[in-house]
Amino acid sequence: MKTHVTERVPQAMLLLAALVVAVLLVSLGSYLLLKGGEVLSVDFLTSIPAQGMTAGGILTPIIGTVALTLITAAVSVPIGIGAAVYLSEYASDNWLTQIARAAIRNLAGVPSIIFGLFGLTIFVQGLQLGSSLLSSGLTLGLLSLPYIITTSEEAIRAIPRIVRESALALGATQWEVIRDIILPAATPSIATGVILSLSRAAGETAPILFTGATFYLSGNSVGLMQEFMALPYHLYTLVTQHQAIEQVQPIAFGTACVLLLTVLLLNLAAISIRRKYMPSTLL
Amino acid sequence: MQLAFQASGFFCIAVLGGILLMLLWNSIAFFTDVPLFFFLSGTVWQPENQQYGILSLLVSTLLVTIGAMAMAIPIGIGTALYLAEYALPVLRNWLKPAVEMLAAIPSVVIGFIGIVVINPAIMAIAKTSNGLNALNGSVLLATMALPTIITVAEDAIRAVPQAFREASYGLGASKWATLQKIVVPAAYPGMIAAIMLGIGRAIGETMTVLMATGNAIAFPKGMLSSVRTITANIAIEMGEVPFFSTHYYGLFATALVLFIISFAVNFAAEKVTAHIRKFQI
Amino acid sequence: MNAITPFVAVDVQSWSLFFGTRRILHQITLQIPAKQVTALIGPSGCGKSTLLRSFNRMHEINAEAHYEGKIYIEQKDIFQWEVTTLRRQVGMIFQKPVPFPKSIFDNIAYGLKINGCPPSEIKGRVEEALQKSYLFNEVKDKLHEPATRLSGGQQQRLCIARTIALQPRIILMDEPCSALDPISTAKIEELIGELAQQYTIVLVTHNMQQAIRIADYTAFMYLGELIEANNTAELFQNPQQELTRNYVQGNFG
Repeated sequence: MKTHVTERVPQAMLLLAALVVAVLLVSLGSYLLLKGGEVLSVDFLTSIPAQGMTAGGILTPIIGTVALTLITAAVSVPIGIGAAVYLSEYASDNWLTQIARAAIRNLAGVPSIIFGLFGLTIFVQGLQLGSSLLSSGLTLGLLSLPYIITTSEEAIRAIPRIVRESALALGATQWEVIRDIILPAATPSIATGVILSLSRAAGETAPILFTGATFYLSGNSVGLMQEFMALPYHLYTLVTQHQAIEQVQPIAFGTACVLLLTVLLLNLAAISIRRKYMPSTLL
Repeated sequence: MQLAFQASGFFCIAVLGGILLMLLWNSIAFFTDVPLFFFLSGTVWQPENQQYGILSLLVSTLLVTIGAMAMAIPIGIGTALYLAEYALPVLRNWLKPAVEMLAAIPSVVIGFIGIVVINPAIMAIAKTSNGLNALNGSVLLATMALPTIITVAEDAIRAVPQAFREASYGLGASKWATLQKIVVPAAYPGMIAAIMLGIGRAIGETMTVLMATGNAIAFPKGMLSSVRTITANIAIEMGEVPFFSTHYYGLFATALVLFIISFAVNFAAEKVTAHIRKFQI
Repeated sequence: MNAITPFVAVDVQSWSLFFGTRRILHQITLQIPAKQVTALIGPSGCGKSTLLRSFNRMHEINAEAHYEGKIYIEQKDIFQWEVTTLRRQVGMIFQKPVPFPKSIFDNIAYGLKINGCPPSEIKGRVEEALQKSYLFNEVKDKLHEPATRLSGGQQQRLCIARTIALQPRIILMDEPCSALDPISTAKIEELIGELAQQYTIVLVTHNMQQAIRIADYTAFMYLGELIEANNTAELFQNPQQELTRNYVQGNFG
């Protein structure tokens, strides 16, 4: 009897902890989806903010976020995959490589607001790109880099050595092995990592605060050198900067819901890519 | 081609070096105006009166982080232990990806929850007129640190070889005794690393605290007072400050302090994990 | 003893190999006859795979490896060959079948493409290679399906087809059947016998019965040294060295 109690009490407490997390997840998700669902409609997604953002939809910030994410990808994907290929295929284990690895690990831990300051200093002021879509995209590109490098390197390293050797044994050069065998085989895992990193970047606010995001833009024009509206920043300004709290709240819920759904869908896409392609690429 | 790859590989060194250089450069410009001692020991941050003391900001950051960890550590480690040792595979296969997805929720959305849910809840429970305070920020940061703590700790617990557990059961030890005496000590460094990474995530977070803690600039009196963290202060003031003024440089100096703290925390986490690798069987 | 070697395909002259400071192979001297099957046997860790991988300079991807001595392939020092040319002349089959994540056709065409085979010839040579590895009839209707869908034995024959498509002189096989079932193993062994009419085959195996079944010559290695090499029947029935006798009688290994 005594052993029963001493076994069950701790187990119950651990279960309680897990339940707290599960309840937190479910209530958080369902609350946002329910409240946001009330305003979500095709109209909401396809019309621009109106009447001082108390009416209309969120088309302008959606366009801004999509454009921003494309620039982020254009910066971080090639450099990130390139760095991953270098670290896994070429780099010998010397002090310079170790410094590069340490830099990547530490970069992943740098608070995002500091990336914002860096973007302000380098892109907005230093390179004279001004407060613009381009400056913000470059900043988020740098922010995403360590994640893309880490996940891509893992993906490349997961390909067995024997696969590389088989291609080398056919007389392929190292570059041919990377281009024709390694990268195609690692593509599903790399894509998973890239999608997750970009979904993270798309939800970031702090790095775009002083590099290009603006709280209101009339019309739908998108330009590299223009300021832009973005979904996360839109949500932030609606709930903290706007005077008409009651009137903007439904729009805020709708925006939060769209952000959440975007992240959920991107995560599901990443997971399904992983599930679909993993068995065949692991050989 | 190899050169292009190599350049990408070393690009991160340039970025990290650039960030450090930027922080140092602007901070030095600040410390030529304001002595380091006054910066580190001053409790008043009033740039309009040439008062640049970081202490109230720093204490606010620490207060919110400690509050978050007081919630996130027991719940996170408990969940990790439950998932790794007790949970049926079905539950584990659902809860783990769900927890990872929690990590992906944008910080503004969490901050929004702070305003529309936690804020009225605190007002009702604590009978205060304002629920935007340190406690609110702590609850949100705990939520954000949970995924990191749970996933890293769970991996560490599962990495403990099954043979350890079987050897313990073989001696007649119960499941809980085995967990307490064998599994937790073996996974201990990984759990510490998990906590450190969680702290790192909480300290550097900007948007949630900016939205949920009220941002009053006074020295914090307790969990129910409105506070302003280092990150929130940068976010609020950088947009309005004239470029290249003492105030502007001062914000970089506070960012340098933040960078050093988060660097130290991540470095500690890394040292602990390196330690595990060394002793892994 | 029937040690007439009409032509030496691989000539190993006091070859030693080190990984860092660790000596893996010690002063190995061995002549491998052309168009015959030569088996390298010995207990695990004896260096037989390491020796095999020396022939196509596969150790070069390991920065730690360095060497002493010479290896001549077709009378030419291996380090005087362009490494990609050497590897095309000296094909290799691995312990596990390694289909690339491409179609069956592209798996074989890949080696041809990177080695500059004219596009007009590729289809013919792919089919010829599949015929020679007795795979053509099994896959002729699904040439453009992923190679990973083939069975293990078929995958290994695909890897052999991929290698012979390049028309190498020598084929190195590193325990090619160790991941296969007995029926697939029998097919591969039969194929090796056929291939030996055209190619020099060097086979690393831990399976003495396999060496007896298919090898014309056998070399026994132990702890990085070559103990004894002879024609297979002679080596197994009448070993000259005590160590060889103990090994072939199953006293250790």
